[in-house]
Amino acid sequence: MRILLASLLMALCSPSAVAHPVTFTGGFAASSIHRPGLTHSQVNYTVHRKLALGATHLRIRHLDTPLEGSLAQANVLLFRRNRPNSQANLYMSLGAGIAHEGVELGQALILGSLQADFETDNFYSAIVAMGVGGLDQFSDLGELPSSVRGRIGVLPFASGFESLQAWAVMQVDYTTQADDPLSVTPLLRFFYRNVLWEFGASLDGKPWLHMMIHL
Amino acid sequence: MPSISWLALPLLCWSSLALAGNEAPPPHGHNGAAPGLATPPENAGPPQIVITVDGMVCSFCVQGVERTMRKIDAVANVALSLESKTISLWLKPDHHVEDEFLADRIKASGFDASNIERITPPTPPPTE
Repeated sequence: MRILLASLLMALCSPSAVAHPVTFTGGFAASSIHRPGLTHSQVNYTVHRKLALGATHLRIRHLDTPLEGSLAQANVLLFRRNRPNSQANLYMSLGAGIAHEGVELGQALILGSLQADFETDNFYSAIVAMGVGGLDQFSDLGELPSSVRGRIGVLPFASGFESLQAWAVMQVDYTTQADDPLSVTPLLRFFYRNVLWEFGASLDGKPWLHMMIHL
Repeated sequence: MPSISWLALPLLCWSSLALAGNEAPPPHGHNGAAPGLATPPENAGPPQIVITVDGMVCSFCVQGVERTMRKIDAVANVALSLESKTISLWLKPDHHVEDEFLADRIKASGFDASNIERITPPTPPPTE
C-alpha cells in the first residue's frame, strides 16, 4: 500500500533523480527533482544488489527543443568498493520509452547515463553524465541533449543514526542545448531515516528541490 | 499557472514524512548509548553477534541493511553504529543463524561484512 501510494505520488509529480540508482535487494526508491525548466522523476525496485528496474518521467523545458517523455529504465551497479570508512560506486542506467514532446510521435526515446560517487562519513562527491533523446539523435551525439552534474558535499556536524543529518552541497550542472548551459547551485541536503530532501537555489536564482524515499 | 508537478510537491513532502514515520523502527530510546547507535533494546544485555561492516558511511544508505537484518527470523533486535561501523544482533531464544547467511544478507544490502564476532555470555559462578 505504501509503495502504491508513493508510486502514485511520483506519477502525479511527473518529474526523478539519479542519486541512488540501486538500493538494496527488495528495496523500493522514489525520487523527484524540480527546478524551473526541469522535472525528473524516477521510481525503481532493486531486484538484485546490482540491478534495479524502474520508470522515469522527464520533462525538460529549458532546451532549444523542449523534451518530455516516459521511459522504462534499468539501473546497473557496475562497480562498488566498500572500505571501513568509505564507499565508491559506478552505475550505468539505460532507458527506453516514448516521447510526449520534442521527438517525432511514435519514435523511441532513449536515455543513457553513467554515475560515479565516493562517500565517507563526512564527505560526499558524485558526477553524473546523462543523455536523452530520439534514437536518431544517438547517431549524432552533437545533437543529443545531454548534461553533466558534479557534486561535492560535506557534513559539518556529525549526528546520530536516528537524528536529522544536514549536509552542505555544491552542485555544478552543464547542459548542452540549454539557454544557460552552466549552473552552479549551493544546496542543503537533509536525511531523516529513510527520507532525503534537498533545497537550494542556483547563483542565478533558480530554485532546486529534490525528494527521495527508500521503502 | 503552476504545473501539476509543483502543486504535487507539498503533498509529496507531507507523504514522505508520514511514510518515514510509518517505516521507522519501533522506538526504544537511546539508553545512554553512544551517538550513532540505533535501537539498542532495553535490558537485553550484550548482543550475541557483532558484525563489522565495510562501506557503512551514511545513515540514509544503511536503512536497508537494518531492515534486511530485522527480516531474519532468528533476529530479535538490531542496533547499528555508524561510529564503530558495526551491526549488533540480539537473537530470539533457541535460535541460531550462520555466519555465511549473515554475510550474504549484508552483501545483498550493498555492504561487506569484514568480521562477524560471536559474543559468549559470561559464565555464572558455580553454586554449591
